[in-house]
Amino acid sequence: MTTPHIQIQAAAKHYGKVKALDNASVSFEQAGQYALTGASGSGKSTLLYLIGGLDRADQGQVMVAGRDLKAYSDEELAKYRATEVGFVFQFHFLLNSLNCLDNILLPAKISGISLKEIKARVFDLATKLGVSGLLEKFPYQLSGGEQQRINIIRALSLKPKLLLCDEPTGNLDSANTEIVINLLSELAKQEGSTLIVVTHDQSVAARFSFQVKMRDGQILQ
Amino acid sequence: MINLLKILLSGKASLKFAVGVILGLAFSMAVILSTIGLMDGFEQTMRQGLRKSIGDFAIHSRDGFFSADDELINTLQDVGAESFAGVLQLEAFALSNGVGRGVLVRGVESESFTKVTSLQMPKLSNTLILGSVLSDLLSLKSGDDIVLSFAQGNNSSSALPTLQAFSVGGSVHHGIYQKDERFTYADLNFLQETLGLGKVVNSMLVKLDDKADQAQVESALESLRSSIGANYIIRPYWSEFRSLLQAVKAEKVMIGLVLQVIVVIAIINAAAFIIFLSESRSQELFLFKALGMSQNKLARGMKILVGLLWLISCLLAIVMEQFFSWLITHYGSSFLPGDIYYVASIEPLLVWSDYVMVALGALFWIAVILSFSLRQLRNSPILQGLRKEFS
Repeated sequence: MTTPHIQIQAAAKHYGKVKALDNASVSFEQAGQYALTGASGSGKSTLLYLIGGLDRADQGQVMVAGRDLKAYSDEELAKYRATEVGFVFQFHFLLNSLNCLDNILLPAKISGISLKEIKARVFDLATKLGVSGLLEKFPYQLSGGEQQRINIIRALSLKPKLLLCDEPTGNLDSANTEIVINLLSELAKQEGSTLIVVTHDQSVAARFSFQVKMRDGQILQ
Repeated sequence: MINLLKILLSGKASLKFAVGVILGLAFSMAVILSTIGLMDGFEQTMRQGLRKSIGDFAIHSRDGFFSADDELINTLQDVGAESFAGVLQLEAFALSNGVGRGVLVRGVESESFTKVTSLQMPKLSNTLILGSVLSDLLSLKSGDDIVLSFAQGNNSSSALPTLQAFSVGGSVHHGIYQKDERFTYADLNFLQETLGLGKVVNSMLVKLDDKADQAQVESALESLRSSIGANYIIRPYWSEFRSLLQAVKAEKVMIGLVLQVIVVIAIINAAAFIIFLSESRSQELFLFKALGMSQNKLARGMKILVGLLWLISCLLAIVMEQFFSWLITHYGSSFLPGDIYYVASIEPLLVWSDYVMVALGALFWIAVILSFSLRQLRNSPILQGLRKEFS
């Protein structure tokens, strides 16, 4: 029996009086592909960001590769986010002051990684995703679907072991949703990354072999 | 790090704000520096001017006129006096072109007097040297005639004033308005003969070595007072304007307090910039954190940026201060009324510690504000920050 890559044990998170996560326990295998589903406010994004080290659990454990993220210092947690995790945010979070290429290269610049090596990979991914001609453009010049692809390239640029996607198709039409989900799945498979996609869209969730359902901050299955 | 700085300063609004802050901070520091320089310059000019008229200290006999005997000279040498000059100092009335003014005539022996006071003086023979302001007031130049009327008459006609004509030999500049306005210099021997006083003087000016500071002068005075204090009154060069010099010191403290207002304005400027930076760039700051930039690295970037602004402000403040000093040195005397300010001109005087003190003062306040801002950033959850900033 293999040890799960990520193990959540009795994790709880409160925002003021709101209980966002309540005694949640779940595990994710290395290179597995998961859909995290549930209604709005069910705690799926909170769980995703706890796994990604963007926040810390108030109670319980969030174990990644055998180590509790709670034990990480701020510096270690920042390094973990930079080197192990790729985020695909629902609202893209692209900076309009930078062109798309600079937006994509931000994680590499923050981590101090050679841009020469990364650029080749970025152009390769951009070609695969059909946005190689858009890299010099600014985010506000792109459509929602194009912005999401840039967002995906940024998340994958440093070959993360963990690809976390928060409603990546939330603002896309069905055609673009299909394209984005296929791309994420395929790229994660190629890289051997663990893919966790938060979605409230059942048709998107149905595309994944593993589904984790949440309600009121708790894991249902 | 350069990318972070570039992003933080990107956009015209940020750049304009940064330039505004630099100018504001630099101007505030320059005003503070100039004021400190002005006060120190005033005191320095005053002390230099006083030394130019009496050396390090002056001795007056309690009996009036006296002659410098060996015992007195030995005593002076014992306390470290390097040079001394006897002076016959008398009140007189100067008449020229129908205009009369009360003056103080000082009979001096050129060489010894210059040695003691370092006052550059034209050669004295039967000429009269005037203070520069007096020379202007009486519209006299070298070669013009002037008559001095002494209160004490000659031996043969003691009831009448002694009138003595002189040719103006030039003018001297003490640097103190009051002395330039009132002092005249004549040859000591000539004055003694004219007034029939013999070889006596009524004061002796003494100079210790060139590097003697106030403490050394005070120490020499103590020794002298204990040995010849019964017969002589000994006054240091600053005694004449002691109260003024004390007032300047007190004023410096008061002005320093008033200048805190300028410091506060500068701090508000800097605070506004840091808050502006944190608010307008919070999208970037939260995203950087989400993508793996540690709080320490982010803080380092902010510190470098603010440090750069401070450094540029300091350099600009020095340039501004030099300009203000130039203005004060060249045009300041036009604004100094002689009946209030005794020095004829002021050159602001600043030492490196003044620059360091003002610059570090500004840095301290900026660091305090920045630390509050960084603490706020540290305490804001990334997730909430991202959602808020990108919503």
